[in-house]
Amino acid sequence: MELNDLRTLVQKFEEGKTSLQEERDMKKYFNSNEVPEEFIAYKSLFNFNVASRNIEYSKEIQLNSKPKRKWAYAGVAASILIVMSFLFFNDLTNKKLDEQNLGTIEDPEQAYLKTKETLQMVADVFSEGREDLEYLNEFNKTKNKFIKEQ
Amino acid sequence: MNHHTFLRLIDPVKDKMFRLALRLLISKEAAEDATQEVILKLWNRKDKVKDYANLEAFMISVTKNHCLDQLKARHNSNLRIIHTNYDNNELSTHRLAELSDEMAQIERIVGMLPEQQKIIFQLRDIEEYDYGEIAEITKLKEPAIRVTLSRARKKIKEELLKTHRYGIK
Repeated sequence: MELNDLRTLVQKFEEGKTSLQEERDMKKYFNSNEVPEEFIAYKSLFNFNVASRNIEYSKEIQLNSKPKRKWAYAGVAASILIVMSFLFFNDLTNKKLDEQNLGTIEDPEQAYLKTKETLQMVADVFSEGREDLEYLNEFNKTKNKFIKEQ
Repeated sequence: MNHHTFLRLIDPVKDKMFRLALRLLISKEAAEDATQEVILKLWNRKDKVKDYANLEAFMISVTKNHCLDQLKARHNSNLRIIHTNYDNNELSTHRLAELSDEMAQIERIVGMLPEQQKIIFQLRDIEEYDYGEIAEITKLKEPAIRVTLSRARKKIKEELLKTHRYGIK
């Protein structure tokens, strides 16, 4: 190729005015020939363009993403099953408890005494707790020294 | 459309889709994921796929949009922990090693171009699409495409000349 022709062609190329065929010819030309210093950048560029086209998608194409989703549903189903069975067995054990003797007293007199005893015990515990609050009266004593009640 | 027909349609285009994804997303893993996702997207819409006159342009166009969306998502969600966030925008050393110095250098220069220029440069200078097809893929008018392409070509040449000169000095 004449040097001048090459110059105008490169000029056209830079302005985006070359046809596909011309561009292909340039690729071929720059790939196979030694070129003058001034075109060295184009040689690299065209070599790059040709080489870049050789990259391939090497992975297997997978069209079925559905099985994955099936398993996801299986997971949901399994967890529901686990929760359900847990609730079910829990219910069973509760029922068992109901059937057992819980110490219900049939005689009213005895029941009355027993209840009284229990309430007494609760009251004792409460008053025991209240003893600790006696300390608070100390505050009142000090307060009364300064603030006389009318 | 069954499996085999679809794969036959995809086969001649899949490398081009991958190369475009690679051009935009830079990391090989992200590009592979993107290609796989786009193919799956097309497969799920396979009944509509028949209606497109230029199927290849349509496939490339879907790839382009998918990658641009990915880039936008990456940009918007710096806090999301997905592997794409860890791809820096440099080429991986692994890929650099596969390329010669000169190739790596041009790859880097192209990587600095604005996205639109990358896309059009990729489609025209590497994949050799004609302007009509590029217009269909990018939804741009032909003159706009020529201008963008011209800018990309000039920029690459300038940068190359710069580095060549540094080499001499």
